[in-house]
Amino acid sequence: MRETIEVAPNVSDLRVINQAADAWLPWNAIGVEERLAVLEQWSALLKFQQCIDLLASQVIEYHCQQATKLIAEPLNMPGPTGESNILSTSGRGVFLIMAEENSSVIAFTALLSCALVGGNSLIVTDTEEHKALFEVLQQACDLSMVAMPVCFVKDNQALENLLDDDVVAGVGYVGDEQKVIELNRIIANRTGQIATFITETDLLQLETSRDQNLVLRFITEKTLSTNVTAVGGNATLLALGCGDE
Amino acid sequence: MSFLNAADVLRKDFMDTELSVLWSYISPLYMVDESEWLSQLLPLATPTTEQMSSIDKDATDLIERVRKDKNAVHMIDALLAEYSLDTKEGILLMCLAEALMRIPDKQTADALIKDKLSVADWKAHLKNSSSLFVNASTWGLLLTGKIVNLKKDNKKSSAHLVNGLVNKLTEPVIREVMQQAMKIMGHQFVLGRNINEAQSNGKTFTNKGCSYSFDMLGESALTATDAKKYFDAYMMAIESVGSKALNQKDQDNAATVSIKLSALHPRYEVANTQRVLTEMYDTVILLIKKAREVNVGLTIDAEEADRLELSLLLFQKLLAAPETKGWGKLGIVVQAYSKRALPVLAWLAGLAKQQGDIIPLRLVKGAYWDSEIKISQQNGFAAYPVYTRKEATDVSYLACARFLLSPAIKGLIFPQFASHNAHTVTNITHIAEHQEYEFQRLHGMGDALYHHVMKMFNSHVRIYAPVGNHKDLLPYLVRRLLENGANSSFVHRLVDAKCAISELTEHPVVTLSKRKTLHNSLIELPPAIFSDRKNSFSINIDIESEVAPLHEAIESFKGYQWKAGPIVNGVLYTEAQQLDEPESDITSQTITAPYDRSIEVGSVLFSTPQLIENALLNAQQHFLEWDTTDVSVRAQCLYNLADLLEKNMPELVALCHHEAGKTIHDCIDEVREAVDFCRYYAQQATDMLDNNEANVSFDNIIQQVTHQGKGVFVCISPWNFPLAIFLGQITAALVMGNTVIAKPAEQTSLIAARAVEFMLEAGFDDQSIHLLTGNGAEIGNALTSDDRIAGVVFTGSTNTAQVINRSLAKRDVLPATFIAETGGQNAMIVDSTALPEQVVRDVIRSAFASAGQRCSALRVLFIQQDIAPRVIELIQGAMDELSVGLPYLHSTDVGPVIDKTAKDKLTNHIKKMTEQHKLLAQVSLSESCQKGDFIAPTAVEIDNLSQLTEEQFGPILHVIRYKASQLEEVINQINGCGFGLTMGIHSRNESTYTHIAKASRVGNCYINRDQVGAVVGVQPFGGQGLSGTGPKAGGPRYLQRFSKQVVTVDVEMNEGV
Repeated sequence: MRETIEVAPNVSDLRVINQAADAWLPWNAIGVEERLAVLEQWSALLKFQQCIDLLASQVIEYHCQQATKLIAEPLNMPGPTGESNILSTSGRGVFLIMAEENSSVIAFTALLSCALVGGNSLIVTDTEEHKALFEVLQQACDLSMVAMPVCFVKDNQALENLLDDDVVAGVGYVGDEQKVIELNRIIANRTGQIATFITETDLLQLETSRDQNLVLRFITEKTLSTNVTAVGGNATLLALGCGDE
Repeated sequence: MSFLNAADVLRKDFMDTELSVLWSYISPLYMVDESEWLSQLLPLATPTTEQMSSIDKDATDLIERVRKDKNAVHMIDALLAEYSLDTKEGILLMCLAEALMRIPDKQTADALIKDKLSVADWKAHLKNSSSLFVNASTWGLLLTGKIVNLKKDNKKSSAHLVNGLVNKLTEPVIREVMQQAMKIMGHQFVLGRNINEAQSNGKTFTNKGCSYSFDMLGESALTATDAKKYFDAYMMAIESVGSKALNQKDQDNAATVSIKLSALHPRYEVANTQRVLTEMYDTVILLIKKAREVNVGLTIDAEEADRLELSLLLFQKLLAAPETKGWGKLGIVVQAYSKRALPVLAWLAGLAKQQGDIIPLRLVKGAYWDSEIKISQQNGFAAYPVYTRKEATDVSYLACARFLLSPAIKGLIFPQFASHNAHTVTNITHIAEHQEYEFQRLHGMGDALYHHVMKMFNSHVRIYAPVGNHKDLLPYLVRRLLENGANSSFVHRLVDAKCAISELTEHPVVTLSKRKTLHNSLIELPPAIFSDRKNSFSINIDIESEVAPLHEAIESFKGYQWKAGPIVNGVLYTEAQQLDEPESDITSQTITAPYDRSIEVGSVLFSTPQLIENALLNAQQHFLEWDTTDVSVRAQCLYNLADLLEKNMPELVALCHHEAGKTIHDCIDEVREAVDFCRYYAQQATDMLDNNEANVSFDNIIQQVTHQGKGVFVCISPWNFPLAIFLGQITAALVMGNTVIAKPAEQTSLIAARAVEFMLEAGFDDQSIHLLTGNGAEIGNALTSDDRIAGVVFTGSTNTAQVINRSLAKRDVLPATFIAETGGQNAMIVDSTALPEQVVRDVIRSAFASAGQRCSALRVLFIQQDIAPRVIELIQGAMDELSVGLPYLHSTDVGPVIDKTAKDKLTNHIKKMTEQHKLLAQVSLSESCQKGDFIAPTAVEIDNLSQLTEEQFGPILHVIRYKASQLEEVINQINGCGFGLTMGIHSRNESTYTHIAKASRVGNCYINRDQVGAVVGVQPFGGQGLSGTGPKAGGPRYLQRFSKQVVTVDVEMNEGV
């Protein structure tokens, strides 16, 4: 069940960070396919929610389609014989996704869906405006029997207080340019890992939300190189050596 | 260079050719066009029509006899036939065979059994074979696999407890059974555990008239201690064989001993030619002396292609030694799959003629074929040193045999034909123009074949028999399985009744001539292994014909003084007079060589504030024009640049030596990586930007999506890859339509300036690329605080990345794109299933190559305690053999660190570590290091990762032991340090390495290999967490970050939507 953590003013709260960090590992571990299934379910259920713009459902669907193309399958990289090189993706960790009040539910949903399908856990503000979105997401997670990787804080200020924490791997924001500049300074002033910052300030054209590669901003890549002849034997090459072309 | 005409070798006067001329024929054939050379060999290998017909008849007869023979199918032949290397089960069995016997701890051994046996379909192999042994083994594997699977399958069932009990009882039993099975397998290939036992076991065949050549198992000594151990074993074998009365009575049938040079010296390689020709020579001479004293012939085995010419030089010196002269029993092995085989034989015959001593010579087909192909592909050589078709090797073998059996060679070389191919054997008997030769076969293989060969052709047969501990079987076993373990091998087909005899007796000349091309078009040449771009070119510096021109070109830059400075709008500023500013405001710096600070390499003029402003202004003004230039034009600039870099490789190698202190291998790799970046990004950008697609967005609007550059990019690059990373960043930004201001590392400005000059020559617009040399902090700050900057791409320390990020964020504009590639605390985890020798080779390279100054370099080695003593001992021994010194010498393994600041920091760390922890090894620095900034490669044992607070960017290895049960803790420690760049894993257990790889939060994970040297487009490189922002350089998603998506809505297209 949803639980909103009351965060003391002007301080980062370890409880919510820890909760989100704990939620990240299993969510990231289930893999893209399963996450896509949850999100597609979420999109489908949202279509029945009259209180939510239909485009919110469609933007999830759109980014799920893009994720299927872009990250669903690890890439086999070409290379010399006798080794296997596979490029896969994974979530970056804990993301804070925030939106100014009455900014754009669609843009907010675009960021949420890309962050989730990429394999990240989220901390968001528990607002009336987005309440239905998350209730439906909870249903989708329940149907798929996975824990919802989203934690809640009371308001945007509480969310901003968490920006200082090194565990935060990325931030998504929907709102105005001045606030972006301000938030960027806070994020840059941290020590530790450099957090990804993804913003939507074009609330009319929704430039970021339309980005067909948006999901790539929420992932990290991993290359796995295996010497497949370590024990000896390169069956593929041997077969080629006896080929009759 | 002189090229041999193959037909000439049969000319009557050919052996009158001077020895030096014969030698000159060898090296140029290393990279010869395969088809062209084979077309010369084919006539040599082609028998007369009469011979062809009689060979066919006799080979058919021989095969029929073998197939009728009840003893024809040896147990091991049958096992190999069923579990060939092209089946999953065959590979799994081999993994078990090679690993199980050397795993010291039961826990890991049981885990390996479980890993290998639970995943294969053993049942499918049951009753496929008529051999009782194979079926019994299969039953064993099947049952064992089932028991192992039971535990897995029933974990959650109510029978869990019962099964657990069964498993507790059975695991030790399984282990014991598997150990026994593997020992049986080893027994088939190894004649005895020691030389006395081997000679005793060999009596059966000795009585049948066969003789032996004993091979002591073990090879490639990594340390002087191991080399001594192998030397003692050879010495003992020679003494023992010599002491046998039988051997002394019948000298024609006397046993010999085969030696592997790589076992006798830890640095048997071209880079250490001097040591080989002195130290190793002294060692081998002792063996020769003893062998001659007790009348035991000695044969030098053949190894990898790179060492062929070196082995011949040593052989020449050994043969001419007073200890050998007049003996006639120092033999050598030649591999027919080598393109150089024929001229090698000619030269050896010339050598024998000159000295007047006969040379026993074993002609083999060659057992390192797959690794020769792999190495050539990895290194980007122009071609392969070996033939790419099996039948081409057969043709070469017969061409060589024809030469060896020609009258002119009689008395110069005593040929020993090693083959298990009935057709090859028959062919030889028919083309022989003299009878002074013998056949050789491997112990445990071809018994029946040679039983009938001896009867039919009255031939003499010698058996090559390995002797030694079953634990040392692996490398030998692997080579044998590679030669004979595939379904397509002659050994398999000989015992396969389904294979028609006519297939087995087809002459290789006929088979090869039937092919569309003489070379194998299924195996692309190294430059063509990528379907969409050319692989970067390299030369093999171990091969005389390849390295000589490069070396000469590099030498021409000796003493050269390079001049560098800012390049703005296509103008290179190297002198203060070129700038319209007071001289007091202008800084110029002399560059000295890191390996010797008394050597001046050139000078660098620093950028002035005015030049920085000019660069910013012009880069911004030119952006639109460059961005709207067609991508094909921009990509062509990258292709041109790649070609120019390859063309100017000698100068770039010289610069990397003298300014960056890089060794020759590192210099070549540096240029290759830069070339790969250019070609990869050119191809990627063309693919991405040429395919503007229309798609339906989430709001059902049909939109046209294009990409364009973001604006002005600042590229801040490090000194450790002064050309590759420098150009990688710049070319990525430029090809996507951005203009670039490059800020190179102060330490390597000469290389950067030369690279930008090449860029301008390649066709990049003068205003698209600007170079600002000078103080990093000052220029960096001026650029990153400027509102005109759209993006920064940076490689360097985590701290600097944060400083840049803050500087960018201070601006009153929307955030810039920031791509940072930063440091790592890179670990390698080694469990007890790993092969210690392989581990140590990879550890030494990962930790100490490039003086540890690679982002990916190994810093912390976690070794399972059960094998830690052996691995540490090997590391210490291998470090003793490292040569630290002048980077331009081929013999140097480790060059200097970049500057005094780096040296002082590393020195302090070593001091602190050695005061608090155990020093495992430290390489001593020679006199040649006194004038430079050198750090002695050092290994220290620590207790846990938290004892390291930051990355140490140099040749320092930290070692931590762990218990098998602590593996999860180790993974957590590594993940907990916050860095996530590279990780190495050495384990034969697939479940274990898959688990570690999955659980570790790193960007690049390497299994059973070293962890440095990521290749562009093959191993996209970059880390996570404190190690970088991504996306990965040299990967398919990198260029996206340099562009922005532009969506246009076509009203007409959307009408009616």
